[in-house]
Amino acid sequence: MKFSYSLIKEFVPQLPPKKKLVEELNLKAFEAEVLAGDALDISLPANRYADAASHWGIAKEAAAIFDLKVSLPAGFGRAVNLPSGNKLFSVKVEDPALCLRYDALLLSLEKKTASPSWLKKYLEACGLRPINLIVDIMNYAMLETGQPLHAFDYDKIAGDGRNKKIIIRRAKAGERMEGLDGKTYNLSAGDLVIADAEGILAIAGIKGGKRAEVDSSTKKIFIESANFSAPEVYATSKQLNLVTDASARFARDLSPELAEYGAARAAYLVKELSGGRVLDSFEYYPKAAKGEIIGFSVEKAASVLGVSVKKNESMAILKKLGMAILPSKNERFDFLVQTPVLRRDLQTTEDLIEEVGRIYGYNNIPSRPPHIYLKPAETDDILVAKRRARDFLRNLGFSEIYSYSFFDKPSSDWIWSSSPKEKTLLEIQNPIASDKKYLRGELTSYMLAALQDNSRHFDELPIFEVGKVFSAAGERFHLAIGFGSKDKPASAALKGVVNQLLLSFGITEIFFRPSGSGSTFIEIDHNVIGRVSVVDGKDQRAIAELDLEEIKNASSEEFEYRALPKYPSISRDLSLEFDNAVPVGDILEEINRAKVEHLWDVDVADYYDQRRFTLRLVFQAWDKTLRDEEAEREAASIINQLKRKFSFVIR
Amino acid sequence: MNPETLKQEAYTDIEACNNLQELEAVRVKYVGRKSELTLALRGLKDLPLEERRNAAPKLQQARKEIEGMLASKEKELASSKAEAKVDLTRPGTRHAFGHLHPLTLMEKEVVDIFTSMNFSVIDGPEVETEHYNFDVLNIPANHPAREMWDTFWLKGGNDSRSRKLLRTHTSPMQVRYMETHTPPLQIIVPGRVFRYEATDASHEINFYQVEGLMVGRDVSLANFKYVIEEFLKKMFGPKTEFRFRPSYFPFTEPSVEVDVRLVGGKGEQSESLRAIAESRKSEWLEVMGAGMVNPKVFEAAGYNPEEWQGFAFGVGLERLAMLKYKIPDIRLFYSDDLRIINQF
Repeated sequence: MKFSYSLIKEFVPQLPPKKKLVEELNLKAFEAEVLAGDALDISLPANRYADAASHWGIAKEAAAIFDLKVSLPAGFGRAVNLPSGNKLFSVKVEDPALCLRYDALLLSLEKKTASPSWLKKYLEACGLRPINLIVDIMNYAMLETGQPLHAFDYDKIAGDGRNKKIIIRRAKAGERMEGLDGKTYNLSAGDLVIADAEGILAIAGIKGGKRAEVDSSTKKIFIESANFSAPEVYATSKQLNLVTDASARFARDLSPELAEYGAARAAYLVKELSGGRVLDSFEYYPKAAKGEIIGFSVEKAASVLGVSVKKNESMAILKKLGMAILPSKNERFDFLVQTPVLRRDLQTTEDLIEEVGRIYGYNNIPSRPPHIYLKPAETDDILVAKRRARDFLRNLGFSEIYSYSFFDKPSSDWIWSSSPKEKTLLEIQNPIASDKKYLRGELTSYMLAALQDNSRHFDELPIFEVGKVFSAAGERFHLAIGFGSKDKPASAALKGVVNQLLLSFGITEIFFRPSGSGSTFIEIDHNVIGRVSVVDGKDQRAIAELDLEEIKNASSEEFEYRALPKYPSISRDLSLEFDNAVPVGDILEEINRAKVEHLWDVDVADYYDQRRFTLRLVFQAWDKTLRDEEAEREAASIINQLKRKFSFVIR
Repeated sequence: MNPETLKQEAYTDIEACNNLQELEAVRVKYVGRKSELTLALRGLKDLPLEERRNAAPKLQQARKEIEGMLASKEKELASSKAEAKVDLTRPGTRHAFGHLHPLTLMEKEVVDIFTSMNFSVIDGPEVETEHYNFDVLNIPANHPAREMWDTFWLKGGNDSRSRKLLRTHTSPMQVRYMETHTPPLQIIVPGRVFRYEATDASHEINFYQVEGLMVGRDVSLANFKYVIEEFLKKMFGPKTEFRFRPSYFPFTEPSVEVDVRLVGGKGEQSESLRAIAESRKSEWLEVMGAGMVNPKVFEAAGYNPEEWQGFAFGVGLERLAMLKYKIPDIRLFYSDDLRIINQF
């Protein structure tokens, strides 16, 4: 919010220079910045609009920080001696929950003048555009007091005398209003509006209407200084997608007490600058707002802040901030504090401790190591698994990417699961882009893009990602591994990586089960935990995606020593040439079925194509030296087993 | 012939040899069959006994020494010949080595510092309910305070416990963790968070935070200052300067913001901090929001605020990584370009 340094200085004549003010505001109150010319930018938190969204408010804060006095200009304060009951208008608040206070003033305008240059200068420093004297006064009085004000042209309000009726009500469905900005606003049933007999005059606390606009021919003005329910203004402003100076303030819960200051200041300025006269006034204020009485404990403050601020010093700080100190009968408290009625943010002891702490200065609080109970620190298992998988893949030469959590629904089958819940994607209600309507259900699509995007720059692409995927069944960490190569089969390389990765987690029972063209499931303990897919048809790019939670659950740290073999092993290479293409997986499965006693390991030693490859069989006995004939016999029984299913010759 | 002079000459010649051929020539010259020395040794038998007794040991000694010098030179030349076969100036062969994402490296660094101070590391859900993301953190519905967090909402849900959103911060884990654990405790929660906002060089729709929470009987703001100063010193160097400013978060009271000094002061900032100062033209840089846990949050978690107090903080990982690695644009973290990743 923009402020004028010289206007703040009018309230605190001894105000230090701009740079010093901004420095101390930063350290003790609000984030502030020096802008060009006379202007300052001060970021007010949502809970301080009530008292500080005004030059008066900042002046009070500065006075407390620098230990200075605030001096109010003439005509600033509570309204006094206003004529009332002249029956020149009437006001009706239909729902007391919507409007906490409604002060109204009727003034005649005697002479027409333009806004004086000092007034324009202040408005411009605060980023407001001068319009005409009356509108400028309303805005200026808001800048000074923090109270939004609105002036209507009295003669344009429907009716005469007491029949000129202002109604604070909810809009009906289909009602509309032309705003001062010339735009038409379509209201929804329930929006809070100011109306007369003919319809809507203003959207309460947000925007004035064109119909009762003040212009150069206006003779009498009706000034509204009200307090509308903060949640109502906020809801209407959101519904209309319309944020104004006034709505931003009302939505942040102003005190109804402020209305009186706004009305009095506006009336004074109109009288001074336009020679006007108050003809009538009205006040609706059923329940007066009061400050809070809160207990303060010096010991509690010391415990929270970690530094002992003396009782007298705490009292002095709170007094500087406009609080009254009262004695406490309750032993828990050293004294009671009555908060200023405008400080709506002060509700609890902790709020007061914050006030003492910030004015005392957070930088004056020492750093002190905490005393702790020595309880072993723990790391969630899934985070440990993430780190292990990442380190493993990195050491294997893979590089890590991070992708967005959003994606476009993929056209094909995106997840291996058959559970309907796991196949249901979560949809964003307010997506930021049309290709980001869903939470990603897998990591494969982004990995596919990464292989494509990087292919120009690298001959070999080892990539991985660890991240959450989402479905109606919940969210889980997945691991995607992509591999692209110009000269070796990508799927075989990836299967090797997956195998080693799982082994590194202590998982040994790993099966790859074909799941359709170009893809194979990864199973541990008959449970599908992932999939390896060839993604280009040529086996130059393949992607594996695995469920990291399943890996974590299956992981085991139980290693056990096994004596080294005492006797030599025997290797036999079988070079096979099949009549038709066969999956190596089927051959290996068939070899397992042969159940030969001493077969210790089988590997593909050489792979020429789908018809021709060489298997290396390793035979090992643990209790004796295997004889050649025994190995030959077992190899022959393996060949016999294969012959039953496949047609091949041994080369 | 003087054996001493001969030895001197032989030494000079041997040392001048650059290869085995040259050495062989020198050997022939000094100890060959027709060399002066060999001939002199052979001629000893013709000398009178007295003379022979005098000359023989000197000549034999000279021969022995020259042969020693030759052998040692031969060894030297032979080994340099072997070296010549291996060109050690060839660059090492390249081995595949992968790279972790800079945010992974950053998270690891933050997590390791806090685990060294006995903080536990906890994971939490990225899809959160309105209840945990806002209500329990004292951020009521229909309150402009919520505007501090632009939110992605999921379809469905009809009340705040069933309405789902993408967590806008890691703070919901404060209450989730306290609901199931008894104090005293100290945890950090690293994780991905989301904001519904236009992306630019410093804003992304998803990014990372590390939440911290410490609760005990008398955990104070002074304790917070200690823990966070230790953290930042490990991060940015032992001479890093800090300042603490008032701030506002509905779930902390008092609330503070922590800045590190980029330039000025005692002038002992690390090089990376000074580099940022240059690009940002500012003296201080905000690195985290924090504060003392609001008693309302303890109440929401089922703790008695009369008994427990503590601090909470949230730090953005991208911001730390951008500072530390001099990365100018947050969007680079989510590009899949390995030419960038492979720099880390």
